[in-house]
Amino acid sequence: MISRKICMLGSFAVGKTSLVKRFVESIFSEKYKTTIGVQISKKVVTLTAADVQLLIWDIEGADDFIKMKTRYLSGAAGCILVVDGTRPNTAKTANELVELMQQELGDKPFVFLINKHDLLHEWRIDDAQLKLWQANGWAPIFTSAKTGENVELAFHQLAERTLKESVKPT
Amino acid sequence: MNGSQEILNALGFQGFVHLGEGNFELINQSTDWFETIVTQAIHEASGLDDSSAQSTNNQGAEIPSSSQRNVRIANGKTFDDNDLALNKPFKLAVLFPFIENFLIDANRIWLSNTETVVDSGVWTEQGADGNEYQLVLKAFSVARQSMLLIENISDQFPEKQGVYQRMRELALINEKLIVELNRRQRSLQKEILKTIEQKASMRELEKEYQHHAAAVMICQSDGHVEVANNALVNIYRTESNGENTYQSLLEHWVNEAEQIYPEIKTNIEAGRYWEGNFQTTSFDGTKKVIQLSISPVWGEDLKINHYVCIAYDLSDFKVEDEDSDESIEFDFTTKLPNRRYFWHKFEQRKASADSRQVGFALVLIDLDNFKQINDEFGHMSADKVLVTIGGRISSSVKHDDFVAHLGGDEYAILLDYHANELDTSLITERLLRVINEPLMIEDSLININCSIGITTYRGEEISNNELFKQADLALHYAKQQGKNCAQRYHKKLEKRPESLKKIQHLRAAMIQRQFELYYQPQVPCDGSDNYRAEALLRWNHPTKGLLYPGEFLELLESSGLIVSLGYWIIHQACRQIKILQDEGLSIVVAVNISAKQLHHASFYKELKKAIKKANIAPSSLELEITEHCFVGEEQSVIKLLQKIRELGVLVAIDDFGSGYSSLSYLKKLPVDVLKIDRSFITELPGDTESKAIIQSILQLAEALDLKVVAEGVETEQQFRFLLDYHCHYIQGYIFSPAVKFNQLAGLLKRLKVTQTRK
Repeated sequence: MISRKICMLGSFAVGKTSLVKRFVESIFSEKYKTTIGVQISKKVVTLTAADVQLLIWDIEGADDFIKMKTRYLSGAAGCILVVDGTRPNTAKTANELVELMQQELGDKPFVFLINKHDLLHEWRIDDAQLKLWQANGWAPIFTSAKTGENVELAFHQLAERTLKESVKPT
Repeated sequence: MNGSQEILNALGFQGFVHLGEGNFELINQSTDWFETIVTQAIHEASGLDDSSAQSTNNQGAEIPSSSQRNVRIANGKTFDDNDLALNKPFKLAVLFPFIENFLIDANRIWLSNTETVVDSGVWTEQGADGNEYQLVLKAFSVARQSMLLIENISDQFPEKQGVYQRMRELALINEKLIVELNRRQRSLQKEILKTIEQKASMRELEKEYQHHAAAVMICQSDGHVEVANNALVNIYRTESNGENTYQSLLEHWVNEAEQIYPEIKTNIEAGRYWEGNFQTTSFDGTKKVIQLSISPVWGEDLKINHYVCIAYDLSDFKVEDEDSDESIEFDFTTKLPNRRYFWHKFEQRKASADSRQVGFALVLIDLDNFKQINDEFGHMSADKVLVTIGGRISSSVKHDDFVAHLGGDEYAILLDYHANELDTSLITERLLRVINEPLMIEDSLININCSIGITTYRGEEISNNELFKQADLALHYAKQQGKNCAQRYHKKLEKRPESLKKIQHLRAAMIQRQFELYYQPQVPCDGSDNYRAEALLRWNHPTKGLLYPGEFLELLESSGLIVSLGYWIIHQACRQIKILQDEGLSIVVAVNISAKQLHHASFYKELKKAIKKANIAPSSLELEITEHCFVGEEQSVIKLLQKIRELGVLVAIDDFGSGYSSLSYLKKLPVDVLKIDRSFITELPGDTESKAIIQSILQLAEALDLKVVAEGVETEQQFRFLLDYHCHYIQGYIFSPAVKFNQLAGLLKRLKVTQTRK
């Protein structure tokens, strides 16, 4: 079976672990429990071309005090970049992480998720911001680990891309 | 088991010697926790056995399917409990991807053969017993042996996790506070400016904001403090509340902020809104981090008379740390890189341009008349406009170009270019176009214009601030050109400050109503009471006295101010016609209209508005235009003049006979009056040619049923000649110079031609 390492990247508390839990175990907890270090989960996804075993590296969220260890990215076939739709500042970290990722992995694919889409009353991402991301070549996917919105889609999309030649997200 | 093995077991370590090629050998008895995670890892690996497909490890290399993998794990045997025995090679990395990843760092340490220890950071593995285990890898060399320890930190982990959990929860709260604080700062700034506009006294402002949570300082443009509230005292830690204490605070801030915001001084002097955060030193030497915003307050003389400064003490939220890259920040409204990030990137681009020998362009964009949107729709809607425009700008540039929101309604772009010369017109045209696209605010469709200043850099010896100033000067020049345009910096612009100052004075004169209309009578030659006068512009200059148009008209034209001043002239003339008519005087007043004004899109609408507002007969107003107005625009001007005449307004051709068109197409022009150019009058009666020209004009006018006005008539002989040849109206010193409006009615009643023609 084909196996692919993928990394979850993003600021702290954007919901990376929740997305993994939703995808791998179909569970969600409202309680925020910060991740320290790395936790690796595995899940096989069935794609048109083949089954792929994803080794999902859930990496501790970056903050002002803790910078991500770039060696965790080594060997990754792609990344899932997560921002929190209720905290526009998490886009700042996303920008930095993309730069780091490109330095470490070159042109490996990533999918860009704007998470917590269920919190519409606190949503602070507007059309202009979306256009800005799109102009940068990022195609945001709105997700919610709580409702499961687009979670499967996001992981499948990345898995598909890791099978193809290294391409930027469209 | 020897002593060191016991110690390792007691400390919760599982130790290995690296045998090479990913083979490890246990050096102490396998621990329970290690066995349970290995069991779980094998169990998970076995779950994949159903597939007959080949696997690849996370480096993309193929690894065998389960049975083969187990063989490799256990060195030729199926994995079982005995495999965790001492002195057996063990392929650890195949079971644990995290360890496989760590081998990259570990190998470097083992090969270096130093005493350095490298650790992996925490990773979590699930055990077969259902528990999670937090582990750390440590790699080092001992006596040329490559050692790997797995440390189980699960016991200490809850405490560490608790600290991190709390720290991040606090950071989340902090983040929300800073966003809210930014929002409040801008809102407060607008509130204070509005209060000042409503003519609140400084005393009232001081009272209003004395106990506000934000530090508020309002000072004059020279730094003299008029309002300093308690929060400011708290930041700067001084008992004294005297004005002198804060006298130099604005300068102090500029000096401090200049380290990271080189443009602050230029910005403040130019009277633009500025905001940023930086480290400040209070009067007792304490270091603090403040978020400061500075807004200018413009006086009626169009000079900055005050600055409103608002500061929040962020010391509890932020620690200025040289190692942390705090420069990467985003504007909280537009989410674009902010001013601080801009400077960070600017320096990077400049350095990169130097090393790669490529160039970059700095583009500054300032939205025109943004204040009106703020005033009309409120700051929430105005913020949405800023976001939309920011998005449009970002969509208009290439992926590698850098767009920042510098604050207020200012944006900046850093554009890389590799060719020898950058064609900036393409990008500026695109920016002007996309920014100007209609935008919906509260059910109203509006169009925003912008002014753009550009400069380029190709490795010249120039400071960052000087380079910024170049783009800023170009931007300023674009604004003065009438806005909605782009200007690229060139050296000649440096010579413009003097004229820019003069333009400012003209604007101030308009606001302070220093302009006045004087009136010069046009006396009818037939002795009738058909009063006429030409409205003439004068500037009551506060220091230079009464100025004539010759001293300022050119600048009015080139600055575009002629359009707005021209509208004022029409409105004022209409108002004064009404006054005269109410006094029972029937009069026609002629006003001069410049080509720029005539071609202005709203001209006809504004003309109608002035007539309607003053409630006068349109035929009491005459527009004097020169032949120059027709150049290149003949058909459209003729159409417009036809419309104007249909309205009832009279049209006169000023300086007739001196222009390019002259007699040939006069019959096509929709006009009522010809004003003979004064140069012909001056030469009367001695100059035969002038006499002939005047005679021809008068005959032509008669044939076309037009009235003729002769201006600049000063002598009895000139008057006599014009009278004899049937000129209709005489204007000139022979009767009167232009007089103030309040003298006009009396003057007109006294003036009458009593002589008769030959």
